Amino acid sequence: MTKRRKWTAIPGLLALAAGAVMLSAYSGASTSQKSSPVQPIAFPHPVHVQKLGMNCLYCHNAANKSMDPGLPAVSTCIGCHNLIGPDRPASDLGPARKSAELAKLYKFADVAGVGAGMGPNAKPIPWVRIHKVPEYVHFPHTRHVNAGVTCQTCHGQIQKMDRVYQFASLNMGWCVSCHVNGYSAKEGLEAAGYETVPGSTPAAQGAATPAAVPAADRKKARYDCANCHY
Amino acid sequence: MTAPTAITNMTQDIKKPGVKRREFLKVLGLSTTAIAATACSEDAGHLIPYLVSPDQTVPGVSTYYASTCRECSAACGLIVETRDGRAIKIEGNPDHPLNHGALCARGQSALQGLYNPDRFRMPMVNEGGTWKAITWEDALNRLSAGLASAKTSGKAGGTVFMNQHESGTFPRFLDTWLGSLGMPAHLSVDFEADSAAIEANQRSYGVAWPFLSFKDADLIVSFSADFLDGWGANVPQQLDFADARAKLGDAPAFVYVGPRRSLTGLNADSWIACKPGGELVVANALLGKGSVDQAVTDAGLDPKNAAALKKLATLVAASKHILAVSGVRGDNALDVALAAAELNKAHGAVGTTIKPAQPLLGFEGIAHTDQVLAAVEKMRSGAVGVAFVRGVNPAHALPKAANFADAFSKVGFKVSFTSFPDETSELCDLIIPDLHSLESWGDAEPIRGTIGLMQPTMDPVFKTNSRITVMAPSTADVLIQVAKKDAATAPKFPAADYRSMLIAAFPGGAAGLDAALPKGIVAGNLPNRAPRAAAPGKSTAGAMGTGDLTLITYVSPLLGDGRGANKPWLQELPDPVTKICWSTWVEIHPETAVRLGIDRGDILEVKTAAGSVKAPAFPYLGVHKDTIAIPIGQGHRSKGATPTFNPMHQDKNQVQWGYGRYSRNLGVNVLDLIPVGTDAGGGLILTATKASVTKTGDHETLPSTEGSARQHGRGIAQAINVEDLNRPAGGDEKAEESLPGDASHAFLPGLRSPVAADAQGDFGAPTAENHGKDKGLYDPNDIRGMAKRRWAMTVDLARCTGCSACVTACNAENNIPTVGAYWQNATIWADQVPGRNIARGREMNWIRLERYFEGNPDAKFGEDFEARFIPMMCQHCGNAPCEPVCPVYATYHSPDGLNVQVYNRCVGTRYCSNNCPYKVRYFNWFGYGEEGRKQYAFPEPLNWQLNPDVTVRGKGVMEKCSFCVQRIREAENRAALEHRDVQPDEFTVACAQGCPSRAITFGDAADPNWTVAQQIGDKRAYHVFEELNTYTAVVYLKKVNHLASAVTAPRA
Amino acid sequence: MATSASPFPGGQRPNIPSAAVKFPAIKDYEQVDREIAGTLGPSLGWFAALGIAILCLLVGGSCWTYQVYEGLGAAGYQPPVMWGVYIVTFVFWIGIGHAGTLISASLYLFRAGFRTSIYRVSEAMTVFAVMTAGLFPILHLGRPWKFFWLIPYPNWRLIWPNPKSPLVWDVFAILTYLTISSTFLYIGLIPDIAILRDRETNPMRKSILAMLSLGWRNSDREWRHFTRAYLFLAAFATPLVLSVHSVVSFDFAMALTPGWHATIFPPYFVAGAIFSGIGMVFTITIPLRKAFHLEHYITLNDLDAAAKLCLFTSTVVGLAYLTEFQVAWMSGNHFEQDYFWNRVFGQWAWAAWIMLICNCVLPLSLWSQKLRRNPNWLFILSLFINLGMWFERFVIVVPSLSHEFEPWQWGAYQPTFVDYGILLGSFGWFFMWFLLFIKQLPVMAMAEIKEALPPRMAHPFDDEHDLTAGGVDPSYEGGAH
Repeated sequence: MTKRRKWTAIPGLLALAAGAVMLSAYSGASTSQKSSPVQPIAFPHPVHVQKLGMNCLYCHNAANKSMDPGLPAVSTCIGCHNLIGPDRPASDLGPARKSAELAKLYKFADVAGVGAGMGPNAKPIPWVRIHKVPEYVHFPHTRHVNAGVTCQTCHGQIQKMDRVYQFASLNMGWCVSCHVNGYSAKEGLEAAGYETVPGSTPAAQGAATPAAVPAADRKKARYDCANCHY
Repeated sequence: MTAPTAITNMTQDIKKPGVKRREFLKVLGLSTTAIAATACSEDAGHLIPYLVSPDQTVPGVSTYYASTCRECSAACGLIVETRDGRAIKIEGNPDHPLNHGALCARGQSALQGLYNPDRFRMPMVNEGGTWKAITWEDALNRLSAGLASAKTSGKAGGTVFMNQHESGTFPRFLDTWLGSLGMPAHLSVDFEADSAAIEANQRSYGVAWPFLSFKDADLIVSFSADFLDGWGANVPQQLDFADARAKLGDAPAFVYVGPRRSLTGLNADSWIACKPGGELVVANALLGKGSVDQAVTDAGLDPKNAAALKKLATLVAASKHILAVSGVRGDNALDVALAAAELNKAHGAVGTTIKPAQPLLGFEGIAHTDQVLAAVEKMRSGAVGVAFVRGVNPAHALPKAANFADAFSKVGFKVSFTSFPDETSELCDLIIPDLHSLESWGDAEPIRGTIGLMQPTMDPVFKTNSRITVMAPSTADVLIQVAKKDAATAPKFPAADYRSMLIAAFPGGAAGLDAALPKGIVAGNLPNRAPRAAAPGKSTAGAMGTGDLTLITYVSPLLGDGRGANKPWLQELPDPVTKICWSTWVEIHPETAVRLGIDRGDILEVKTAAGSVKAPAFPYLGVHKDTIAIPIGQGHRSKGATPTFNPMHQDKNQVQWGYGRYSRNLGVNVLDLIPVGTDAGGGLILTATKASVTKTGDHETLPSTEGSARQHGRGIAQAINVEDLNRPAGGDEKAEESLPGDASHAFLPGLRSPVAADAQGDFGAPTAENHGKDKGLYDPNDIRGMAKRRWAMTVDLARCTGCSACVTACNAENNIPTVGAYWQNATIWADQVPGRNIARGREMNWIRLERYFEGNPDAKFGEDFEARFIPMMCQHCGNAPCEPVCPVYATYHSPDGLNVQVYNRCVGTRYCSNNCPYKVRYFNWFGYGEEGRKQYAFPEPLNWQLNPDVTVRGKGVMEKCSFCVQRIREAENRAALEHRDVQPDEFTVACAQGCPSRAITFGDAADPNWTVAQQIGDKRAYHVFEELNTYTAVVYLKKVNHLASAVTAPRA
Repeated sequence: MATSASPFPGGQRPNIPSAAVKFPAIKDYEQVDREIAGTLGPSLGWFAALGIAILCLLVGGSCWTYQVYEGLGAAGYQPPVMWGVYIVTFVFWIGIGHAGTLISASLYLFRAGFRTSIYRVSEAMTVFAVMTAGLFPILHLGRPWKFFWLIPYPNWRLIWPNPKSPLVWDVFAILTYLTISSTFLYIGLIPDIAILRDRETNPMRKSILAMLSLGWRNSDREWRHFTRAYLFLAAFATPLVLSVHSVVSFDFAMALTPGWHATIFPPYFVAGAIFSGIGMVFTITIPLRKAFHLEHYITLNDLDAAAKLCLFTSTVVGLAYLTEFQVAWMSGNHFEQDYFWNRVFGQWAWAAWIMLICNCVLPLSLWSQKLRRNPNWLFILSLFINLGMWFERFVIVVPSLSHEFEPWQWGAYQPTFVDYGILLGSFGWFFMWFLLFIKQLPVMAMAEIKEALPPRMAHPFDDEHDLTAGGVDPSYEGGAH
C-alpha cells in the first residue's frame, strides 16, 4: 500500500455516514415509545377490566363520540369507591387488605370514609399523560372506535398493564402504514383477546403484523395530509 | 414545553388554555433535531379531569347557548359556541326574528370584549390619585357608604346614572332601584343613535323605529341614511336590503343623496352629491316644493349631477312603494327626516315598506345627547352628589367643547360599572366592573312580541374569591346586594339575585325560562318603557365657526362611537369604504386635494372653532368637494402619562388606561373639533362644522389594504346592467364579452369533479384499476374510501354589500392573528407604529373585501362612479398554480377538491404565493401565534377564544383559506358516527354562516342536491381570471346595476 | 532555441500560441515558478483585505441570526413581493460562477489561448461563487432549519420532495455544479501543488501539500492521465454552463407571474450569467494583476480578448431585453403588457434604467480597442456591469411580483438593514474564501503557462530521473544565462 492510497478511504467513510443518517430517518424511531411514568395513583387496569370486566367506555366515556377519549371525573371513581374504601373486607376479589392507592384517592376526593360523599376540598387527580400524538395532528377517537378499531390496536394490551406504558410509536409513519395497508378486524379482535375463530388462541401481544391478513380483507383509510393536518 | 391538550381543556385551571396544543411550531423550532422530526418526544404534560363532569357536555365537542347581543341597541339573537367551558365563537341565532342567523362584525367581536386582556379583574378604588384593587365586599361597603352620604347630604335627588342603552328588564329594574333610594330615573345613553330620525319616526309613525322592508319597495332613496353601516338596526336592514337586491330584475333602484358616499352610498345605483344639509332642498324638490333646477344650485350639486337628480325626480313620481330614509346629522336633521317621512306617506310607503306595526323596540327610550349635555351641566353646577356610569364613555363620546371632565370632577362620588379602563372610568372614584353580557343573565325586547334572553355561556373569565357570591357578580347583583344592606330598601328586593328576579317575573317562571333558553327567544311583551322626555329646541348653529370646508364627522361602522376600539378584530378589519385600519384619516375629494396640493398620506392639520387635530389625508371620490370627512371612534387617551405598552414585560395588575392596549393613543378623536350643538331631535350636530385644512409637511404610509382601486380592465368584480339580464345567452360577440362563460359554462365540468383534469377529459370516473393502483400520497385521483366531492362556493355580488362581517367570522373561526398593533413589528431598527404591518401589505385576513371603483377615471367631482365589492379568498383551483411549485408538497390537492395547506410541512419558500394569481396566501412573518413573543396576537385570555380544531400557526409558514376544512371533517365525523353520508347543505363555512347578506353559499358542486351545485349554473356566474385555466372552485355571480349608469363598462 | 528531445515529443503542443506572441516577457520555467510562487507569501495588505472580508461576513451572520430568531419579517418583504434581495443575490452569484466555467472549461475545449493566464482565477471564482449562492436558498426560507426536506431521503412517512417544483431542480443543479467545478479546479491544481510541495521547506505544510498533490511525480504517464482527465472534466463541465443557469431561470419561467412566464428565460439567463461573470473576472484579475505584478502574464491581449467576449455577451443580453418587450407587445396579453410598461415607466423605472445603462450602453465602449486595452477602464466598467447585473435580477424579481394579476394586491418593496447586511455578508463570505485561496495556491496555472513557453534545452530524458515540473535540472542550471 503506497503512501498516496490511504487517502482514498475518506470518501468511503463519508458515504457510510450519509447512509447511517438516512437509515435513522427511515427507521421512524420514537423516543417516547415504551415510556411508563409513575402515576399519582397506581390505577390497576387489570383489576377493573379483566377481573371486574368493566367496559373501557365506562370511564373513557367520550372515546366513541369525540376527538378526545375523555378521562373519568373524580366523581366517577367515587361513584363506586365510596362503597369500596381503602380497608377492604375479604370478598371474592381476595382476602381483606388495606389499599394505599385508594387512600390516596380518598385524599384527592376529600372523602371522609366509606359511604361519605366528596368533600369541599376535593381536587382533580393530575394524571401524567402517556399517549400523545404530535402537536399538529387531529386524531378523532370517534372515527377509529366507530370503525371497529379495538383499543388494543394502538394502546397494546392495556387491560393487562398494571402500569400503563406507551405501546405504539405514535409517529406519522406508524399512522400512515395502517391507513395505507389497512386495518384487519380479525387481528384487532384477537389483539383485544377475543376468539375470532372458535378455539384459536388470542394473539399474545399487541397489534398484528400486516403480512398476516390478505390486503383485500383490510379496511383502508384516506391518508392525504388534510385528513389529519389542518 | 408542557403541552396541555384537548383533554386539558377540561381543566378549570385557566393557566392551561387547551388551545396551546395547537401552537406546534414552537415545538418544532430550532430545538428539533434534523432527522428525528417526530415531535412525540417532548414532555406530554398532565391530564386534569373534571371533579364532577357537567351534564350534557362531551369533552372536545361543542355546546351551543342562545343569547342576545349587546354591542348595539338592536339586540340581535346569538348562538354562542362553547367548547370545554369556553366561548369560542359567536354566530347569529337562526330562529331569531330580527337577524335570522346573521351577525355583523361588531356582534361577532363581542368575544374580544369578553376575553379582553385589559378588562378590570377586580373592583378598584381611586385613593388620592392612585388606583388600588379591593375585594368585592370592600367595594360594596364603599358603594353603600357613598349612597348613604349622598342621602344625608340631600343630594340624592341630583344623582345621575348613565347606562348604556338597552331594552329589556334591566332598565326598569335600575329605575326601581334608583327610586328606592330617592334618586331620579337613569339616562339610557346611546351616542350612536340618530335622534332626529327617531324623533321624526315618533312624530310620523308613532314608534321610535318601524321595521323597514326594503323587499317591498320599488325605489329606495336615502338622505345620508347609512342603513348598511351603523344607522339603525344594521343586520336586519342589510338582510332585507340584500333580499331586495336578490330580486334582480324586479329589485328596487337605490339612490343615495348626501355629501359623503358611505358604504351604504357605495351600494347605491346613483349618488346625488349635495352639500351637507342640502338634502333638505333635494327632498323638498322631490316633494314638489321647489323646482329641480333650483335644487341643483341650492343643494350645492355639480351641474353634471343634475341629470341624475332629474332621473330621481321621475323615479319618485312613478314610485308606488317608495322607501325614503333620512340619517342627516346636520342642524336641519329633523326637517329632512320629516320631509322623508312625508315622501313616504305620499308614495304609499307606510304599511308596505315602513311597518310601524312591528317596531324595533331597541330604539325606544334612548336619552339623546341633549339630555346628556343637560346632565353634564347639572354636574358642573355641583348639584350632583353621586354619578354612575355603566357601559358608556361620555368622556370620549362627547365633544371636547362640552368639557365633561371638568363637570364630572364637581361630582362628589363617581362610580363606574364599566368593565374596561376607558376615559370615564379613569375619572371615577370607585370601579365595580360589570360582567360581560356573555357571562350574565338578562333579557331584551328586540321587536314587539318577542323577548330575547341572555344567559351566561361560561363562568366569568376573571373569577374572584369574593365572599358575596362564588364568582364576580353582575352590576344587577351588586345593586341588589347593596339594596339588601339597607333595611329601608331591602324589602323592595326580596329576590336573592337578579337571575331569580328574572325567573320570578318570567312568564311561566323557572320552567318557562328553561323551556325558552334553548331557542333564546320567547313570545311576549315586557311592560312598556316610559317615553323619553321631549327634546329641547335646537341650539344656536352660530357656533359652527367659519372655514372654506365643511367637516363631516360620522360614526365608524366598525368602532361605533368608540366602544369597539379595544377589540383587535375591529381595529384590524379595514374600514369598508377606505380600507384603512388602526388609524384615523381625513377624507378629501381628489379635486380639492389637487387644489391644495395634498397627496395620499400627507398629515393634515384640521382646524375648527372648537379645536384642531392632525391626521393623514385620504383622497376619496365619494365626498363633496367642499367637505372633508373624519370618522368617530379612535383617539382614546388616558388623562395620565401613558408609558408605551411593552408586551414582553407586562404587569397583569397594571391598568391599561385609555381604553386598553389596543386602542390607546391610536388616531385622533374628531369630536375635539365639534362644537356643542344639538339638532331639533336632540342629537349632536355632526356635519355642519366649518373647518380649514393645512399641510403639516409630514407624511405617512396609510395602513391600508388597498393596492390599486381600479381593475385595469381585468374583469375581477363584474357587473351587468339590469336590462341585459334577460338578453338571450350567447349571441353576438359583445354579448359573449359582457357575459363571460355564460353561453357555455366552460368551467362547469371542471367544477363537478375534484380535479380539473376531469374537465380536460383525462380523469373520468374511478375505474377498478385506478382504485387498486396506489400512486402514493399525492394522487389527486385517489378516491379510496370517500365519495367523489368537489367543495365549492358561490358569491352573489348582487347581494354582497361589502360590510366585511365575513372577514371577522373567518378570523374567529380560523385563529387568524391580528398584526396591526404597534408592538407587532420587528425589534431592531423597526418603527413601532400602529398598522405598520398592514401598511407593508402583511395583513393576514384569509378573506378580504376588495373595493374597486368604476368610471370617473379623472376623479372629477360630479361625475358619478360605481363601487364594486368582491370577497376574495383562496379559490381552491382545480389546476392550482401554487401546488406544483411547492418543493415539499406543503400545499397539494386533496381528493375532495380542496387546495390544502399543510402548516407543519411548510418550509416557507413562499413560492406558492408568488405563483398565486389571486394573491390569497398569507405568510407568518413573525411568531404571531407563539406565546412569549412580542408579536404574539393572543395575549391571555384572548387565547381562550382560539378554535381548538384549528392549528395556531407559528412563524415562517404560509397560510390561507382552507374552506373551513375543520368543519368539513367535523361534518364527516358526525356522518360517520351516524352511519350516513354528509347531507346536502348540512353544514356551511364560517364566512357563509356569518354573512348578513347571505351572499356566500358553500357546498359540494359534484352533488346536484347541494344549493351551490344549482347556483354555479346561473347565467351571471363567472370565474375570476378564467383565462388562466385555473378551474377555481369559487364562482362569482355578477353584480346587477339598476340605473344603467354610463360608468358601467361591460367587462371592467 | 533548439527543440530536439523536448519533454513533449513532436515539438510544441499544437494550438498553443507560440511563446513569442504569448508571453514575450517570460524567459524560462524558473522565472514562472519564482514569480508565481512568489505571490503566495502573506502581506499586510492581504491581511487587511481578509480582515474586512471577515468583518462583512460577521455582519451578515449576525443579521441572519437575528432574522432566524425574529422571523422573516425582519427582512423587508412586503407582500405580494414575497421574494426579494435574497433571491436576487442568489441568482447574481450563480451567474458569477458561469464565466469561470466558460473560461476554464469551454474555452479549453476551443483552445482559446487567452484563457491560460486567467482561468485559475475564474475557476476559483466559480467555486466560491457557487458556495455563496448555495447559502441563499436556505437563508431565505421561513423555517431554514427544515431545509433538508428539499433533499430526497428515505423516510417512514413516505414523504418526498416534489419533483415538479423548480426549487427542487435547483437543489440538484447547484449541488452538481458545486461538485463538478470544485473537482475541476482541484484536478487542474494538482501539478502546481506538486511544484509547491517541492519548493516547500516547512515539513508540516510539505506533508499537507504532498497529500493534496496525490503524489504527483510529473511522470509522462501521469501527464497522459492528467490531460485525459482534464479534457474529460472540461467536456463534462461545459454543458453545465448552459444547464445550471437554465434551471435557475426555470424558478421564474415556470411560474405564472407576468414578467417571469417567458420561454426566453434560459438563454437569456445564461448570456447574462456569462456577461456578469466576465465582469467579475475583470473586477478580480485586474487588481490582482497589479498587486502581484503579473502584467506580463495577464497581458493586454488577454484582457482584450476577454473584453471582446464581454462586449458580445452584453449585446446578447441587450437583445434579450428587447425581445422580452417585443414579446409582451405582440402577445396581446394585457397582464404582460401592463407589467412591462410598469417596468420601464412605472414605479420601478429607476431600477430598470440602471440595468439598461450598465448592461447595454456602457459596454458599447468596448468597441474601441483603446478602451479594451485599458485595464483601468475595464475595471471601472466591470464594477458597473456587476451593479447592472444585480439590478437585472432585481428588476426581474421585485417589479414582477409587485405588479401581478390582482390590482388590489399591487404593492411596493423596501429592504431593511437585514437584507443589506446579508447581501454584504455574502460578499464577505466570497472574498474571504478567495483571499485565503490566493495565498495558499497559485493564482495561475504554472504548468499550463510553461506549456506555452518555448521548450527547454535538450537533456537526457528517462523515467527514473524524476522531473519535477518546472523544477530545473542541475545540468541545465548553468547554461540558462
